[in-house]
Amino acid sequence: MMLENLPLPFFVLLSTVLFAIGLYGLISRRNAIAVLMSIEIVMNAANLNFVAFWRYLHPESLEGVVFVLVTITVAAAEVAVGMAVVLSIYRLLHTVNVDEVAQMRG
Amino acid sequence: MSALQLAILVLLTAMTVISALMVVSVRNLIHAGFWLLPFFLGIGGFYLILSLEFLFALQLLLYAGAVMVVVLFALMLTRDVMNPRVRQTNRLAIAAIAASASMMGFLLIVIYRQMGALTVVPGQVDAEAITRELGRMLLTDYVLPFELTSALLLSAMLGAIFLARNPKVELEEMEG
Repeated sequence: MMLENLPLPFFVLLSTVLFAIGLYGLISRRNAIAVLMSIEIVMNAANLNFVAFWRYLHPESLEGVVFVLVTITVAAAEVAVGMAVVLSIYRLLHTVNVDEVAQMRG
Repeated sequence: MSALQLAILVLLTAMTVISALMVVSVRNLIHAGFWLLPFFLGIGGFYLILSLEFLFALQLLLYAGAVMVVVLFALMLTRDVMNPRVRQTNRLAIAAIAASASMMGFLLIVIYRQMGALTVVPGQVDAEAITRELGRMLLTDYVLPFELTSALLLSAMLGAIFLARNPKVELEEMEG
């Protein structure tokens, strides 16, 4: 296995980079579906971090993996509900751009 | 680390980071949706390196399968996702670069300061026992989160159906 020569900071740095990329997309994208795709990137970065810390620091108990399982399930539910919300917004307003949907702005 | 292992690692990292960058930056959103596939596969590859075959399979089924298909369907049901003349970034694009770069900077500072605590050798795990142990834990120690997750999935499914249906069309079908 190649893990012996692979330090933990590699995984931490990788998930930091992925988190920053996802955060950029989350703020800068106009299309609501693209925003949801960026959220998926952020969630995957967090999952990678959970798993890496579990594997290096506490491999004897599987708490980190259980957390990741719950995160994956919540992400699936979030995508389903998010897409339903996006589609009903599209049906009402004929746009899914988050900067044009400003009916509730005070 | 042998040359082959290093090559695999570099390829996997490059695939994950580049496809993540493409997802947040390409203008054609259908292409962005398809770029999710190498991203999810790359994350799954890292699960394999960390000896989690079960999570790799879940990643393939749920993310590369279900989530990507739902995203692509939603993209195809809305408009202006492939029009190259339509702007896909809002006026916060510059601020978004600054925000994510500063977030990354803060995290890098934290990681650099904790470098001593992070330099550990990975413990030994029995790769074949992980999935069995995971199933045992989900039905003993973590049975409450497990059941709550199933309730969440059920309510999410009902909510999605309720939100996505079109009341007007259903009314017309009932009348005619």
